[in-house]
Amino acid sequence: MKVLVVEDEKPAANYLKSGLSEEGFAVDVARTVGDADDFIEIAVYDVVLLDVMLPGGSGIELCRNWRKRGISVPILFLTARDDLHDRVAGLDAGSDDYLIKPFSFEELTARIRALLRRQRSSGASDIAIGSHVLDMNRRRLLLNAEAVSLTAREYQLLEYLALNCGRLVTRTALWEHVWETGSEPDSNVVDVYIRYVRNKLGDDGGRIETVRGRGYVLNCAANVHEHQ
Amino acid sequence: MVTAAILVSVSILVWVSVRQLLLVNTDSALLSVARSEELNFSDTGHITARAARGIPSALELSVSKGYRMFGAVIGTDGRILAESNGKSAKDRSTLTTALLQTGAAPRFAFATYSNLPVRIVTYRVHKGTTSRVGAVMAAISLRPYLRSINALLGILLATTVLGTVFSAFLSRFVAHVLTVPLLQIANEARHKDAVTPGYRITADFADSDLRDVANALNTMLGRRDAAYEEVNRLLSIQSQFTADASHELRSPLSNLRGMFEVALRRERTVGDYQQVIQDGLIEVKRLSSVTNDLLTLARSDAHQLHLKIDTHNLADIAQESCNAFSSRAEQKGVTIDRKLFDIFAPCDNLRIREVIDNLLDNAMRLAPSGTHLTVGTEQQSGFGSVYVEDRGPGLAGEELELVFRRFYRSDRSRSRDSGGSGLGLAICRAIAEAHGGSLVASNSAPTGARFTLNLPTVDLGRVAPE
Repeated sequence: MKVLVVEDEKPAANYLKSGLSEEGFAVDVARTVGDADDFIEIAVYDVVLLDVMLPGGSGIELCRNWRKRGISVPILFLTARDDLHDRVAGLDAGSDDYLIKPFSFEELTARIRALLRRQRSSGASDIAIGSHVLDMNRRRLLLNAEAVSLTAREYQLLEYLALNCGRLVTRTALWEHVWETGSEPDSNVVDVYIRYVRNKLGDDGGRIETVRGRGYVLNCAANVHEHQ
Repeated sequence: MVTAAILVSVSILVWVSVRQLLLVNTDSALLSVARSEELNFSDTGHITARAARGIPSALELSVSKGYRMFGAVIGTDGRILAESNGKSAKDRSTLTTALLQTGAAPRFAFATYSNLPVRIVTYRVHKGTTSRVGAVMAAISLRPYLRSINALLGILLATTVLGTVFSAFLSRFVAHVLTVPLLQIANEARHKDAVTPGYRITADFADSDLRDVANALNTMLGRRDAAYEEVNRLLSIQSQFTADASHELRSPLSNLRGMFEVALRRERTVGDYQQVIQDGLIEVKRLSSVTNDLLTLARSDAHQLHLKIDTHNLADIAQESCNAFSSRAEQKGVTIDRKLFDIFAPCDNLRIREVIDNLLDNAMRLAPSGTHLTVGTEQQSGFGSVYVEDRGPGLAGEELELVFRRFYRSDRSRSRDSGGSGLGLAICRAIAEAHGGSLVASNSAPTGARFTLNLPTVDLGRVAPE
């Protein structure tokens, strides 16, 4: 899952990037309205964290602008302004949620997960991959109720495949959703990580099929069960 | 009410005087009747026979129409010498007693004779040789008099009541004519829309006094609107300030919380922890600087910015400031030109140094590399100035004033990395004003901004050192 953080303050941008990366997100940081506009044009994001007060314009204006242009990515406002007027303005501009600074990092990740879940048609939080279960709330892979150790990148790769169960996922799509924008494109890297993930899945490794020259398909077990 | 009171008292006065007048007339008629009976008696020894005419129980001496009379003459020994006839024994003795007590002057009194209200007169007589004559009494009926008096009373009562009622109606009518427009004004003033700014009394009056009242009220409403607008403007500045202040305080807090929470999510190396503490320290410093700035502004707003005033050379303070910035200027490739002349002014040197540092810091940030900054002093009448001039882009017209607004950031310096809390210039101006001076921005030719700090000076002769 790829996140765009639009935040002009370096310390805030830094901890958001490192914290979210450790959580297994691919994180891009834009420092100005202009940068954010550029990023949203060239890359595909699963969620955007948007500061309200930005150099070169307001986050609310930016959000309204994006929605007008048909950009439908889930947007979560991060704002130090807590009066009703600002919150309403943010939501009316087309954002999906907001958090008032200072907020708990736990809550931030929970809200991002909620936004991502809403995006998925099934709303499932657990996906079975053979005898393994991918627990997307706690971002881990379970085999017989025991966690399988995965790096953040491996998890992201598997999650993206699992969210597109049975469908062809191209290398480009994996590249766009799992790696930060601006890293040197290298299809080899994707293949290397696919191999890692297959190894971690053990007996279920064969469920990731290679479609020669195009990409990969993950065959999940049929019993996708819902939580809540 | 007043009209009624006047009517009543006038009626009472009229009634009393008319009654008195009538009584005087009655009395003089009575006295002449008595005198004629007395003469008649002297001549004939009888009370005139007219007394008994037609009316059996009363003594009708028809001197004139409507008067009934009784007459008697009594001797000095108390014996009745002559009298009108037809009266009871009781009446006689009453009359006799009265006659015996009488004096020479005629005495008038009210009495009842045979159930008839009468006026009687008595007086003593000594008619020459007629030693038998002692006193004369005459009486006439009071009925005509009472009829007149009662009729008058009735007329007066009627006039008073009618007059009162009429005057009441009249006064109400006049009051109504006068107050209707006033009520109209009052109603407009009470109207629920009267609280909305821009509301005016619209009624049009022919009467110029009423027009004045309406105009005065409208003038008052105008002043109220102006005051209201001013209060709203101040409130909105205040609420903007509060929002900005909370933003400036929350951002570093939020950063601290975020970086600490992220740091604690897993085991890290000592180096990582040190980095987090270093980053945190920067945020803490920022938080404390914003807090100090806000406190300074709050003190200045409450006129509690305490200054340690002493006489200082503005050139010296500016010199120190320039020295402090010299290495930064070198790094940036900016030259600081000093045009400093001695000017002595009473001031708090640390605060003034703070102002000049702030101005230099701003100029340094905006000055393009390779350009010159000028720091100089100037003497004007009564004022000493310190100015800082850069060759940066200068300020757009309205920004010349806006830059002093709290938390104002021009777009090009909006990024927090390039600016402080956004309170610097506001604080500088507050310090200047606390000294009785001013801080103004202007554009300098050909390009660049110039900030001038003006401070009141004192007589150089008195304070300049040897």
